[in-house]
Amino acid sequence: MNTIRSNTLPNALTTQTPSATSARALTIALVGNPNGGKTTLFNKITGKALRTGNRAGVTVNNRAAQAKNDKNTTVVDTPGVNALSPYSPEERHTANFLANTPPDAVINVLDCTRAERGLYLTSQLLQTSVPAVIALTMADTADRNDVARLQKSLADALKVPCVAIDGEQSIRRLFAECRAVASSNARDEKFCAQNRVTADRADVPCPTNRSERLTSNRSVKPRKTNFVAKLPPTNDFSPDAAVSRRKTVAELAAKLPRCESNLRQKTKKIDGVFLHRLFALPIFLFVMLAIFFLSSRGPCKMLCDIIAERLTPAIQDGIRRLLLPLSAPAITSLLADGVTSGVMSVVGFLPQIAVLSALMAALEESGYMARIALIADLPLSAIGLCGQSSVCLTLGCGCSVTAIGAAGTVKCDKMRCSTVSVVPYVPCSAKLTVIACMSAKFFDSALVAVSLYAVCLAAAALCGLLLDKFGKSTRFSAEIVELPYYRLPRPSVVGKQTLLSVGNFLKKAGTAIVATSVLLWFAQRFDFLLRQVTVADSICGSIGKFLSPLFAPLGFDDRGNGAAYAVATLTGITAKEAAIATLTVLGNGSLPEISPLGAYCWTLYNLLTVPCVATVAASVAEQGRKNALKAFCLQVLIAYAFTLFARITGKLTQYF
Amino acid sequence: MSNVLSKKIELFSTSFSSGAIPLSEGKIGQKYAICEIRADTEELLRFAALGLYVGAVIEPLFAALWGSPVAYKVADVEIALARACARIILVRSVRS
Repeated sequence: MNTIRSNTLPNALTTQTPSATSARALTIALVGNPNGGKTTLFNKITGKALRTGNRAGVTVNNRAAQAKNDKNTTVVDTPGVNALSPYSPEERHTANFLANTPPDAVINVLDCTRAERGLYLTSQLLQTSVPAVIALTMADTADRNDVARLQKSLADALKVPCVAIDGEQSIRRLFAECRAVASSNARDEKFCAQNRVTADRADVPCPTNRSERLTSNRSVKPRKTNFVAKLPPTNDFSPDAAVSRRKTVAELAAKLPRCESNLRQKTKKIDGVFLHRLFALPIFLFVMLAIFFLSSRGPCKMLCDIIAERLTPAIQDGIRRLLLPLSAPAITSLLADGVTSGVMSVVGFLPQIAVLSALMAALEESGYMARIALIADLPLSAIGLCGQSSVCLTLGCGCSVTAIGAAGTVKCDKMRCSTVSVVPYVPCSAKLTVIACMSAKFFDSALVAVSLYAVCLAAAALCGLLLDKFGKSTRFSAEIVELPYYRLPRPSVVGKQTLLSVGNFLKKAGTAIVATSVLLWFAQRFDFLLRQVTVADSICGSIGKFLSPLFAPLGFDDRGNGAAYAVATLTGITAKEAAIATLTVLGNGSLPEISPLGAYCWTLYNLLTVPCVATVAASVAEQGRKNALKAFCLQVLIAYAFTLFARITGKLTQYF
Repeated sequence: MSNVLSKKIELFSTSFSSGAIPLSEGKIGQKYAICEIRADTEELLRFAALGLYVGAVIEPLFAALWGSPVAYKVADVEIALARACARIILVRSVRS
């Protein structure tokens, strides 16, 4: 594909190669619509493997890297935006970046099969003084002649170089164009400095908004073409100006040749089946079940069980045997029970995380992820969540950690935080173990276990509603979903993203899990005077006894074993199964005596309260400390309120 | 309170008497022209950036399982709008 250059640019520049101009260090920014292929282009230019996806909202922050063919050039990938208006966080971020640290050139990434959509942003970029080159993506899915015609028409109409991206050669051409426009528009640094000083002085009226700054701190004047001349000023953020801009863009788009993607027709046909009124739900449920079983059951579960039940005890035994000659039980226990169990619990999650990440990457690449949002949106919006949350909630039935790991697919920030906060209420497989153990000992009817499960789901709905009611309203972005084309997932992309997700899990959640495991090991084995004691007398035990009056209204103490059940609640933070193990130790081999109602209340409280440490770490990594803390406080409150309600209802039932 | 209510009724009747219907009631396969968007400035700008503005032509493509959201074709893009979102966009049928 040839590069079409504007007639106004010097011919000499057209033949410039990266090596010829590589003396000056350059910063080039990629700016374009969501799901326009910026990150894919960024990965091609830099040789990096950043997360990409066939949906909007994959990039949320700037990411910079050196170009692989030109170490003097830094390429910055910006979040996808539809406009440069200061409303959504991504738009603010990109606008501020262009205003405060203007790059030497901008590559405007434009999907050639959806040119009209992207030209709105292009029109705003052309009104800034940052030199731009248009990169036409998706060129490989359209007719080559159509793309060439569009390329020429765009370059002529907008007076900017335009490159169709369809291979390594086109990337080199794109780079040469960027260097050319950056060199031709070389900044007068002195002028820029003076302008910045002027703008900073209090006595001089400074540009009041971003768009004025965009054009004032550069010596280069914005390009003037017939198209740009018709546009409203960039600092006019009124709806009338936006409509006027849209109409100007529509006029231009009407004159441009159309590039039909060969994926459009295929997408229409596939949607006819996948979104069919009769087939949509069965296909959706099948995909959800497939994800659930592949990531939480089958070979993956077997591998996790082997790690947890065979490999971990073997390593712990090995460490104990190795350190036996030292005669230092505390150090041996620290390494064998604290550090090893922490590290191995992280390792135990890796098969699940890897399989899940691969499945999620494949789903995103295929374009079905956006359709999942479409199918599940209405029922989930009733509890304050959005369609994309459905994947996380389904996975939550297997493991909360993997479910929270999948929350990255939820586009809207607020919805993502809500989803991460709601997921721990869904009973995971570890919680089912607690239900099974308590049911076997204390409850006669299977309906009791079913009711526990139902109450958990009710609590999840309540949590979603509360977060929706009292949180900032951001349904707008969740209510509009762009439907990408269906594509076959590329194994290389799926592989790279799986590695990236596993690495992120190890870095963010893994370290926290190991640290907290060691801390809990210490709290369960030592008292406040740092003497090695039993669990009942340990720091954890003391805190449990201290807290037991708080749990008395919940019925934990109705047979005099309140302290044991309070301690087990605390140790349950390590892992929910650990609560049962603690109770067995404290009850000398069996669960301590408690009434069936007390057992029901204890089980319910443990199902609803703060989840295991791995889930906590994953939650903090996904939504930040502040939001995670709020969510856990809400969780404790809901757990207490529900359990208290269950106890009062139980007592009243017994009375009547 | 009654003033606000009467104003709302007036707006409602004005829109409907002139043949405008909420986009959420649009028929699949029929083309519509947007004649009003009842949203604040911020939402209007975000709608405009997506190609939804007064005068734009929009076509409902298919509805999701529960009737919401509905996928629409606007210019050269397919987007899905939740029913609540489509309800604030008033449209008029375009005869081709």
